[in-house]
Order: sequence, then C-alpha cells, then structure tokens
Amino acid sequence: MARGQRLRTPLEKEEVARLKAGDIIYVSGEVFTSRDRTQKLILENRDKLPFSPKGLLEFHAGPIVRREGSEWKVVSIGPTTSFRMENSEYGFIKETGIAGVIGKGGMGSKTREACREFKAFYGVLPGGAAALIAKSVKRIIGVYWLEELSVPEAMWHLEVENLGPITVVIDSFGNDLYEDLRKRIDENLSRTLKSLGE
Amino acid sequence: MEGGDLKDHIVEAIRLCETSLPIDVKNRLKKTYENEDREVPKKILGALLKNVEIAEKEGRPICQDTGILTFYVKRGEWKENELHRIIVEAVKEASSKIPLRPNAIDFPSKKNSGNNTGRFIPWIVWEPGGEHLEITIIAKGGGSEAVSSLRVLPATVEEKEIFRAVLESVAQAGARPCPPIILGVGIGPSSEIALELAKKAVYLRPLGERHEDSVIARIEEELLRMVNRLDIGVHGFGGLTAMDVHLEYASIHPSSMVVGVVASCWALRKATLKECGGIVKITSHKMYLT
Repeated sequence: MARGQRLRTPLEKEEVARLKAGDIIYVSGEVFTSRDRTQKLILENRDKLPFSPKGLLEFHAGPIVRREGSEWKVVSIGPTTSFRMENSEYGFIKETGIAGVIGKGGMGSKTREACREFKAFYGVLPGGAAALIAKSVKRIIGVYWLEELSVPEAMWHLEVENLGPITVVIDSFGNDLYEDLRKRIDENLSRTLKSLGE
Repeated sequence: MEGGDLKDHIVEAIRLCETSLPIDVKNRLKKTYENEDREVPKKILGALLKNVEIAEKEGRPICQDTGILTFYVKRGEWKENELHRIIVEAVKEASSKIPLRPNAIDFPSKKNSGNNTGRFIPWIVWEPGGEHLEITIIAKGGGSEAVSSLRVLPATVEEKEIFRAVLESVAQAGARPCPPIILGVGIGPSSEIALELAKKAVYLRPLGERHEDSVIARIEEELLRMVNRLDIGVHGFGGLTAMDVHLEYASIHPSSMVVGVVASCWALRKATLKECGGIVKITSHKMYLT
C-alpha cells in the first residue's frame, strides 16, 4: 500500500488506474461539493457550468461558510455519509467523467461498477475532522444554486492544497475495502452472538 | 440576571459546545489514540485529535455538521415562556456568529430557515427539579443516527436479547456513525421512553462513569466488551468501536420491554451551563463565564 501519494486534479485515467484500495493520498487542485439534491442539478445544467467536472473529484460534503466582504470563506468542511448517493452515483460518474468521489462511510455495488467501468475511485476522509480539512481549502472559486439549495447542499467549487488523508476504498479495478469490512463485521457479529449461547 | 445577559451566556455555551470537546470526551479520545497500535487507525485518530486542537484554537466548529440543537432545561426561577424565547434568540445569534451550518429544513416546503430554528427546533426538554437554572446543550449530527434503533420485546425475554438488539444496531451501521462511538441504551415500557432514556444515557452521564445499580453496571461493562469485539474502529478499518456504553432504564410493562439504541459519533458535543447566585459556569468544560 502506498502512503502519502500527492496528486493534482484534473486527473488522467492512467493516474487513477495506479491507485489501489488501501492507498492514502493527498489531493491538490480543483474539487467540488455535491450531495443529495445537488447531483441532479449539476447533470441538468452541466453545459452551462463555467468549468468542466471531467477529471475533478466530487466531494460529498456540506460546508460551514462565512461571508467576508465580497468573498466566501470556508470555516469547517468535512465528508458526509456517501451511501445516500449510491442510487445516483453510477449515472453521475458516467455523465460527468469525474476521476473520483470523496466522502465517508462507503458506497455500494453500483458505484463499484461505475469505478471499474469508467476508471474512477472512491476515497474517504476522516469523518468529523472539519476544522483540519478546512485548512486545506485555499479558496472558493464559485458557488452554484445557493438560493435554491442553501449552504449545505449548494455546489461549492473549491481550490484545495493537500486535501487529505484520503484513504482509497474503491479502486478502478472494483476492489472495495468496505466490502471486505462488511464480511469481517458480520463474522464478528455472529461469533459474538454465538458466545451469548445461540 | 437580565434576559439579554443570559442569551449572551447561552451563545457562548453553544460556541464551546461546537468548537471544543467536553473534558471527559477529550481525555477518552486521547486514551483511545494512545492505546491503538495499528498504523492506519492510529494515523486517522491522530488526525481527529489534531482537528480538535485546531477547532479549539481557531474557534472553528469541530465538525461541519453542527447538528440539530437539543436543550435539557431545569428552569430554576425563570419562566418557561421567557426561557424559550431566549434560547431561540441565542440559537439564531450563534448560527451567524460562530457560524453554524444552517441545518433546520422545513419539511413540507423543504426550505432551510437559515438559522437553525424552525417548527419545534431547537428541541427543548423541560426537566423537573432544580432550584437553579441548568441548561445542557447537545449538538447531534446526522451521521450518528445510522445506529438508532428500537426493538419491542416481550417483557420475559432473556438478557441476551438486549445484547442482540444493541450488537445488531451497531454492526449494521458499520463505519457510517463515525466510530469510535459513545453508545446509549434505553430500556422502558414504551418506545418514546426507551429512546429518550437512550439519548440521555449518551449525553447526560460523563464517560467512564458506571450506573449506580450494580446489575446495570455489569451489563454496561459486558456490552462495551462485546461491541468492541465487532472491531469496526475509526473509518471502519478495525480498532475500537465504542469508547463507552451507558444504559438507563425505567420500570417496564408486564407484557413489553422496549430497547432503544442511540449513539453519538466520536465528537460528542455538549455543554452544561449552570447559574447560581449570579455566577455562570460551564461545568462540562470547567469554565466560568462570570
């Protein structure tokens, strides 16, 4: 397992293909937040966006922001539970050509399939480490649908420097650390229940 | 004390609640880090501690999900209506001042109020007793709800069914509630009593403290040991699953026993404000405001 690789977006397919489940990486460049209702709006309006999501990372997050003069500043930002996006993620990866998704808690078989088919990855950031992660946000490049979706769900286009530690959970070959984890927890559960006298 | 002063103190208590951990939780997290010897979990736990340090020093919320706020209030000499108004004002002010993430969304219109207040929110629980004003503020995020469960059992079931209810709730949630969690189990005659006791068990008792009843204390110890055999750990990559388990109970009904399970993520955020003779103290953080 590689520890502490540094990558810069937009990522090429070859760079994504080198990532293996279990790697810890740090990312610089552009990423954007998206969750729940955001994905649908991005897909419907992607021709009108002033930037292309291709090769960038989708960050499942809803930040705390502060207005300073004419600028927005990130106060705290961290990953939200990714699994809520499992049903829409395959289509989102396919249509946008993003290089990967960052969140927390893991995704399911449809996202795994998308990562394999379209050469993308899924990684996790430490949940709740929002003050630490905010330090890696250099600036907010833009915000979309703020009125409609409000702060947590709006799309925040960010420039980041060494965003991490991100642990690669699903790689572009379809390996999934959390699938192994699920099996391990289930085994531990049945062993513990057995000890109760099942 | 004037209402305006109390509002300022509550805003300060919300700031402490959101930007720093109570002393018992911080100590337990440090101990968890020291006891962990596997490389990846240790690295992530180290990042969590660093995060707490930065949040406290720079006054940034520990987690971007600053939660929905719950207030447990012993009102002392204060009038309920007046306190209610002051608490709502304090939440609005804290939301823009700290700032907090606006998390209160109106259900029918799906509109975000922008200031963490709305229908029945903040949730205020009026507690009996107390000569003096005492307010415990709790910030609970969305992720930790992954563990929440309720199981209605016949009153005559064996103890192991309680263990099963708790273990299955924690196992199905996996890494989603941001382990190592603090787990609360409530046992009572009906569903709302069981869940309310479970939530109070998580938040109102300091970590490491056992129930005064020795039978319950033993169950807590066993639950903690068993939950940690699941080996979910921070991020779900293995390691400590729960930092503590608290169980609270009410008398049950002849036919039914309800088991409620509620958890906090590793970042258990609360602050307890006490006022006595004009002195205002945040006991959870050992700080005086006046």
